[in-house]
Amino acid sequence: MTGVHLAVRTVHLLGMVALVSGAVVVWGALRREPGDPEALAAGYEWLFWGALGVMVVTGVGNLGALGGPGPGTHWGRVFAVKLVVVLGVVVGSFVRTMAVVKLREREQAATALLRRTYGATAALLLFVVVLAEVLAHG
Amino acid sequence: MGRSRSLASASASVTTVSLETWTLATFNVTVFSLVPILLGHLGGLLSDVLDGLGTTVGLVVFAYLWMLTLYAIRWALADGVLDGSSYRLVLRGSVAGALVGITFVLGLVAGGFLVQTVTNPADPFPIGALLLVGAIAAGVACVVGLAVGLVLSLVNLGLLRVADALVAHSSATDADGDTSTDTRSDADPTPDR
Repeated sequence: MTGVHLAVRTVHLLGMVALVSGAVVVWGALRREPGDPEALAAGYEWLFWGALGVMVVTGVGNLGALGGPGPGTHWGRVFAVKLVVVLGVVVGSFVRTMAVVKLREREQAATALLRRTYGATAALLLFVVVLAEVLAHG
Repeated sequence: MGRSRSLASASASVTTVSLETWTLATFNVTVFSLVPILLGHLGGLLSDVLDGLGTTVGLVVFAYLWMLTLYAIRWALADGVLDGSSYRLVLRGSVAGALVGITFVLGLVAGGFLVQTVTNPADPFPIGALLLVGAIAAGVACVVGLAVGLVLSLVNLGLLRVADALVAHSSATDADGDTSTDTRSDADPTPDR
């Protein structure tokens, strides 16, 4: 593995740490009824989409560097499931972010809604972490 | 306090527009990347494709596409398009897709020409052939970009509707007396805007 590949893999891992820990922190803060939950949520959304873009490109970089068995193998099937779950996270997160944007525009607070969406985001991202562990270690 | 609320409101407004642009651009680039990867993997073609693409080149190409999409979305969302008619949003989204396609391909052609010229100055690519390749590639990229922009605009529109419904449902829950969901204007009877 070259230095570039190691750097790409490290950035990929750090990106996932930012996504998961951010979602958990926002979810935890929302449980304590913060003063301006939409501002807190919007801050995370900026981080989320930036980190997601980095995750995708470094994920493809990882795949290109390490290669991977075809779709008929156990690894290939788990990888396909991971891609589908990631797509689900991306689509769901788009809806979540746009809901945050609309809530801010309308100056409408919806702590319960936000708490549910960030809880679901954190849970799905943790599932992606588990799938990544299976891919890395079998 | 009124002044600080006004400043905060203005700041929030600017942030909201930028967050929409940032989200739409990254979402579209991500979906545009992930769907072909998934289909390529299921078709057993992914390893062959990625083998021919260096890591550094892949990073640069993705960053270039991301930046182009960000600028195109910023243009597409100008003049309150997101709050206007669906037709206008889809139209501008499709045109933005075509523009991204053309500039992306022309950038790659120009980049390839520069690399060829620098690494092998004794055997440069003929300018006439380069212009021909660039024109054909730009034409194809325009059509493909238009189609991708159309599809992604429709997907964006559908998901925006879902977000609208989610927020509306949240408001309805509020009307039914859920205390954890309220509106700021109701919570503060004397808004100082």
